Amino acid sequence: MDEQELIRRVQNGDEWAFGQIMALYKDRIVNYLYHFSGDYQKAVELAQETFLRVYFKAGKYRPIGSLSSWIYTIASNLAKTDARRSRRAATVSLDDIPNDFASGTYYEDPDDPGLVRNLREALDELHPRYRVPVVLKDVEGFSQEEIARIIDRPVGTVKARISRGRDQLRRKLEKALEGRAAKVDNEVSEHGRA
Amino acid sequence: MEGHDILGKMRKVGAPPDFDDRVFYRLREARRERSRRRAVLRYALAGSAALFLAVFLMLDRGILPGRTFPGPEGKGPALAEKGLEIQAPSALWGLGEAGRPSVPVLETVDYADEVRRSSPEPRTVYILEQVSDVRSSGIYY
Repeated sequence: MDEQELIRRVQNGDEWAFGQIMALYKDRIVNYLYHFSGDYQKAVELAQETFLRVYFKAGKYRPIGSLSSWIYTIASNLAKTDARRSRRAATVSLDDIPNDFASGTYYEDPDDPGLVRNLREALDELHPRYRVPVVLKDVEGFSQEEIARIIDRPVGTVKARISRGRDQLRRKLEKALEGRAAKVDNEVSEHGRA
Repeated sequence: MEGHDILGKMRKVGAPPDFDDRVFYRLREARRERSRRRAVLRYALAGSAALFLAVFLMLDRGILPGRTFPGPEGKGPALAEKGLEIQAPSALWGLGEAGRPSVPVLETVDYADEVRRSSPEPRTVYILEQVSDVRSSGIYY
């Protein structure tokens, strides 16, 4: 049974069809939200909320775009709203938080936890405006046209946001690398004096 | 290696094993909550409509103070049918300024003379002519 038939059944309140859609998308949505928020528990919670909305708002789905775009749109909107709320709820000034980039280790190995942490922190610092298209493109592998449909912006805007987001990400990673290099130099010179 | 290249190779995570059960549980809860909210909304709407009707009837029946007034003669029964209280003009008598008794003067006004005629035709003039031979007098208009 194809996705369009499944969503049609969900529109009529079919829970089995809803379960099938959930089985198809739950891992992808949790992964996407995890890379967006950096918090697995929050990602799972937001993914659950996403599927609840898929069920209750199924009547609003129009088969103009793909079902995956629609589900990702719901997930992205929820993630952005949550990010906004979290920013508002934060009571600690950003100036009081130490820049921890230098504390990580930067190797060109994706399995390295230091790199993952640096990347994670760099992603967290990206504005959701850039984070959403970057994660959709580089983690989920969507095309620019699909991302344009998901975030409801022209393709040109999507291209610009991906480019700007990647640029910011690269600069932040370079900064982390420089910080680590400076830290290593300091340690070497201190050991040399001793 | 660029940041975005590494992003694609980052560890992928999946949904926990009990994900479906939790979603279905929340679905049932949300349904229950929705039906409860709908019932509350229905009762609230019915209650506010009833309240509105009650206030309207109270105002209409003149239960609120300051609603009594003297009615013109002959209209009494009609107004009484509507539940409006009619007071006699004598009921308005009372003590006026400086404690002296005062009598309200009610003067009827015929608005027919106040209104200009809208018909373009000239007014009919009746000429009264004396027909008796007993007295001679002028013709009065």
